[in-house]
Amino acid sequence: MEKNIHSNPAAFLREEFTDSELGVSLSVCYNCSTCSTSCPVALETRGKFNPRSIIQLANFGYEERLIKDLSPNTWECSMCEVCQEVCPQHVDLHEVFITIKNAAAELGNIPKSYSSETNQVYLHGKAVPLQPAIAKRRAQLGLPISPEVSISEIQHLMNFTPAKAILDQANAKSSSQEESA
Amino acid sequence: MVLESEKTESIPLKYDIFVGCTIQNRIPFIEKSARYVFEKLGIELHDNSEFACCPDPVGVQSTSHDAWLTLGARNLALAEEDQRPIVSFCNGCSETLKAVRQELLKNPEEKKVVQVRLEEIGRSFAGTSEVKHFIEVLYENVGSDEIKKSIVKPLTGMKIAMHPGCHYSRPHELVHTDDALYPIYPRKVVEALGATVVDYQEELMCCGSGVARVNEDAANGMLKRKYSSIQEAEADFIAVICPSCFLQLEVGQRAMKKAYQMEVKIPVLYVTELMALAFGASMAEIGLKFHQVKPIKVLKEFGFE
Repeated sequence: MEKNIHSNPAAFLREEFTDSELGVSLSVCYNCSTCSTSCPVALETRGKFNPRSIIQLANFGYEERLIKDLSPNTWECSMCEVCQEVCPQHVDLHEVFITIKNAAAELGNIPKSYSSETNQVYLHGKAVPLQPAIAKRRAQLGLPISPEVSISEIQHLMNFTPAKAILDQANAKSSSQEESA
Repeated sequence: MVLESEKTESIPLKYDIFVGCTIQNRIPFIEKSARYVFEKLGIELHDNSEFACCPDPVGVQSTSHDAWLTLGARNLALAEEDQRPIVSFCNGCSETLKAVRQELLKNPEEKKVVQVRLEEIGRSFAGTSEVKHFIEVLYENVGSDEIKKSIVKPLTGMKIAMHPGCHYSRPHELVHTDDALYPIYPRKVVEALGATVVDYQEELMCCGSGVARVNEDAANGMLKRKYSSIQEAEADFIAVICPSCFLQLEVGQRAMKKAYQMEVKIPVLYVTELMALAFGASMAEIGLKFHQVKPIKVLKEFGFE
């Protein structure tokens, strides 16, 4: 029931990319690059970020490079999901990228823009918590009060998942950075 | 996909409204128009005050798929307690709730794990509450003919650039709606209001909200392509169906000036705002003054008050 972060996220990733349904999906990539030619971020970064290279590295055992060095950086994916739709081999790029990002997050390699959003959900149950100005605006518009959810339920559920340890790591990292600054 | 006869299902009378964090707590005027339109169409929306973040298919799912799945299941369990389907007004929320439901229904092992967790907080997931994006309800359940009956002021002459956004129709195997790469339901709904939906080269281009978190230059480049193409098509407004796209396409207009000295001033309207106007709402009533890119002046030129 409880899942904590993996002691070795790269080894876990290797397992996911070989001994699972996802591994089968990855293995049929024939390197045609249709994904990269349809990727808007590849277009803007002149291919520095491109989905094909991530799929190739995942296929050939470069998990450490993907989640430790972030080279290429999978967090730059905009999640427009076009690559997923155009792939002639139906490689599940969506799930491959999520799996890579989850493993990188477990290593502490998660951008603040991501960890802080998940932290808001942990603290308030909402990615965007209510501010007094918005509460006032809602009343002006005649909208119902924006309800507060049972935070204890949210935290109880998140404590079963790796999110809790990922957030603890990220929060410790940002407070130590504040201290050194 | 439904193309020929659009109205394929009868209208369920009641939905649980899933407003979503961004609309609820940042741009609540969108919620106002959504409630206005559904009331006019005679569809009852029920509020469940325990709905939490869907959670976000980008931010939270990228952090931990397991947390995303578990929190999503809690929201679905709440709708099941109400015995109602869910209607979502956000591309992200509808993707998450549809995808979580499908994943749990397809994987008994995962479902068992999540179920044990939910029992700890006194809840239970069975998968009985269906999830719809509001565009699906309008296109498939209500249909153009019904929509037309509520129009008191058609949007004649208005040129709209439709931006459906990514998570509405992709990944198709998770959201199962419309055409994944060339979605048409949003366009059909706007056309039913009497507006002209213009074609533009970069309709498929992502708003860049996801990549903006990490690489702002890439996001700006994507927006530049999008806006240039919309300007070429001489659209009066951009229409959206997702709050993340709404914010990105509004805020991005200022970013263009800073990054490229490019002037962009195209008001962004939610499809529910366009509908509310056509159904007779005043601009004040639905809070259009709260937009960052002010739509009021252009709307006045079209005779709206």
